[in-house]
Amino acid sequence: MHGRSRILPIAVRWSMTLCLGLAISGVAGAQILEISAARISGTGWTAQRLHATLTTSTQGDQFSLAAGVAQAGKRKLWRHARLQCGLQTARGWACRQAHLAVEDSPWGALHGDGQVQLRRVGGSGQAMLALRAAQFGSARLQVQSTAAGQWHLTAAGSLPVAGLVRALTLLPATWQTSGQARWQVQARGANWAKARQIAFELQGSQLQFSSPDGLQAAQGVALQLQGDGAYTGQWHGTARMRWTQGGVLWSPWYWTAPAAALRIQTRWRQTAKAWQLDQGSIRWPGLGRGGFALYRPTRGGVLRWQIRNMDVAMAPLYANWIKPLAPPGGLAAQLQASGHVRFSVAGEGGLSALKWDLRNAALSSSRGHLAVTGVNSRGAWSRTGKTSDAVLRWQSAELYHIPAGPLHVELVLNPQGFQLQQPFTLALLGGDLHFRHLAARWAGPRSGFSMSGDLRGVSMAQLTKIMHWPPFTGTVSATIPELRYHAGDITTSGALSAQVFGGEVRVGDLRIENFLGVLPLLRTNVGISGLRLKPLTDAFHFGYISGVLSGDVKNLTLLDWSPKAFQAQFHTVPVHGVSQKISYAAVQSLTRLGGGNGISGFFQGMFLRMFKTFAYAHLGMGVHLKDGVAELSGVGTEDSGFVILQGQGLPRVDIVGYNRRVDWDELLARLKTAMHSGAQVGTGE
Amino acid sequence: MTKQGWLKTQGWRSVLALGLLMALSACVTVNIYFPAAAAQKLADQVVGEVYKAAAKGALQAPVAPAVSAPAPTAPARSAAPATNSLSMASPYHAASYLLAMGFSAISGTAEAAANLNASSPGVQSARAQVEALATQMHPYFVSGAVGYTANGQVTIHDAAAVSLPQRAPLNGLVSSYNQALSNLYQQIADANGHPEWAGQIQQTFAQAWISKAPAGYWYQSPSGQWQKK
Repeated sequence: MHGRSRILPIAVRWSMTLCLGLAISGVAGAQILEISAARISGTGWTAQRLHATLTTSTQGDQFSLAAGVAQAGKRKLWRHARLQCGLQTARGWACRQAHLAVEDSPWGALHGDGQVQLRRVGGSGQAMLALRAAQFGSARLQVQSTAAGQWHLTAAGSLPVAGLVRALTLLPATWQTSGQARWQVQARGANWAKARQIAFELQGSQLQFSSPDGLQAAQGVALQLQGDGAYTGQWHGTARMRWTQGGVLWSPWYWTAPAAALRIQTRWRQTAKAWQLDQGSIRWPGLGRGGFALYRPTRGGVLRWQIRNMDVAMAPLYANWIKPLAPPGGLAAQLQASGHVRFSVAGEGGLSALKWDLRNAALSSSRGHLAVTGVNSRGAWSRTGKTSDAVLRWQSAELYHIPAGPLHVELVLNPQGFQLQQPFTLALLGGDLHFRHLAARWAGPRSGFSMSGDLRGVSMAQLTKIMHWPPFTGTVSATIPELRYHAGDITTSGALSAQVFGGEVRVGDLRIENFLGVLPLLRTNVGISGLRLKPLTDAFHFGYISGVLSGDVKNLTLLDWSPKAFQAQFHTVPVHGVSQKISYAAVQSLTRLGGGNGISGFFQGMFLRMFKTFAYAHLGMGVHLKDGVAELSGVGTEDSGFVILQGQGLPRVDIVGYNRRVDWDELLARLKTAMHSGAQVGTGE
Repeated sequence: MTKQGWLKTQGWRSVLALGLLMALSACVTVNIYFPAAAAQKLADQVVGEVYKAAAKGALQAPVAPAVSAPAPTAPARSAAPATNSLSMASPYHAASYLLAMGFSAISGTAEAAANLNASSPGVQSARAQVEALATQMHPYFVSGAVGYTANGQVTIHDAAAVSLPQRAPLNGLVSSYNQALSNLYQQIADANGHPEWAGQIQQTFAQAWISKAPAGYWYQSPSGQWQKK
């Protein structure tokens, strides 16, 4: 009994709060020693309602140990555990062919076999525990202690991770987990109640998890976690992780382990207030590298994190981290990026600060709608209310194949968005686009971009060629009052006004839906006043017409930039000092446009050719396009026809159309024919 | 004719005139109800083409369907309040009732023609967006990862039916597709001058998405139970 009695003081020293009951009794030749303890606890663990029974008899000694609850921290690991074995006391205590039964554990009910050995070697005690259970895997633990209480623990085993995840509550209880883990732990301490050093290694393979909706999941993950720690008033140490296989889905993101392992290493620290990771580093082959830090309060509070000086390639960053956030079908989902960016980002209940330095980047959309090259940008943003500066430069850009020149813009960033530091000008199609105002808001009902400015001297010839519109010459200047972009739609708050051909074109109520998306839809109303017909018809090779044109296009609707509906009417207005004349070629063009074959009569044609121009009183035309059919009208009616041209004086030429309904494609073909066949006539004006 | 007889005759004439007036006023109100047959025909056509485009995987500008089925309309409804014929004791009420009923019987055979226009640019653009997204959604429908709800939208049925990389954009796709579908229903309603029809059009499409769905597609019954075509 000497060996037994020496064990007891050690157990007593373990106890922080101990209620011990000791009873020795004898029944039918057997002696029974019972020890019970209400609670025994050490650093980070507690066992409650312990009851140890030693029965000695002529058949042999039996030992049993029951624990009501064993818990690590606040998590209950085991409930109603019971160990039973035949006890051999020849050389220390040996509990061979021990049977362990646990009613409830993170692995469910456990039934396992193993052995326990306690012996005294020299001045130190040694405890060994080996355990194997179908649900639990296996564990082997060896502890050596000196009489002074210094101890050294070595443990290793393998176990299904499902129980480990549940035990440590790493994931919500409703999530499914599977996989295997091999583990090793070494620890030492100055006394039984407190560990002073620890080293651990965990190798997981075929790790899987899945949320109930399947949108957070992992498959085939292999990773290795190593670490060490020491207690010097608080726990601190280092940890390293390697991710070598498998894929992780955290909708909308999905990452696969890179061919060369992803490596993370950090220093960790546990204080009374928080868990901290600092001086962390990430090496993500194929993406980049950088540092990180994390602060997690233990008693509630907001998780704080920082990613510092990440130097990454834009292509994988955009494809795997940014693009998944973009709505499918939108512009951002079509873009590819290249270049490099160095950034730092911090979060505290959401993104709180960002600092970036983008170098030699490029953006292009798969459909060719947008291309920007030579992009460099530097700046910072903070959610805390301070403004900061940013610079954006690019070498060249293309929007719908419309080229734009180099850009240098300086911005002021505030928590809600950004605005221009000073106006800037962008070269565009031989002219420029001057930005008086450019701003963005990240969130809220007015989120998106807004701008106002002026279009100055933009070449219509270049624009019409790029857009595959009928050729136009001259330049266009316009005032853009306020143009807003929000969620793929563009709207204006006022009328865009452009000065063309000596007159004014006003574009009001402009709205473009699904801009840069599939089949963009444009709706607007256009007003035209004071357009000089001479330069206009010169541009179109339509034949010569002089006069002043006014009119409007109501409810103009373009689908994928092709007209689908409108109600247009144009007519000349007499202006003092401006003659109203039309050439023979223009008469021919108008006749074709109205549905005729030109002036076909031999004598009629020969007679009219004798005159360079003809005076007219009214000229005009109306087109109502709907469902692919254009309904034509003129400046008046005659019989059942509509008057396009009402001549004046002698010789007088009138053009009257009788075919009011015409297929839109047919009308476009007529316009094309008229513009290409209309010879230019010199009039001397 | 006695004075009493004359008064009686005049009274009946007044009653008749009043009844005629009421009957005529009743014929002014013509309520055009939702053109269910035309909507069903349009839905079948659009849904069929979207399924076809999605299976083909090609994005093409949709051709405007030319649906011009006459819409069933409500018979010209009398503006007169419904009255209990048993309570009509006076000749005045009797005449009014008979005239109104008679006119209703005649006008009940008349139909106000109403076509569902699906050729507006707004509808075409909305359809193009639906078809573009339907092409991306197709593998998810085929695998059973998503299915149609009973109200003409889509929802995730079994995300695990597709691989992890395929699952990543699933939530966003479903959300965008539902927005595109809602936009389509609203654009059809708007194109027909009845924005308030969007809900009924959606319900009509809901039936079409399910009835014309290829074999293997999943859908929800009105009670929310999942079923496989």
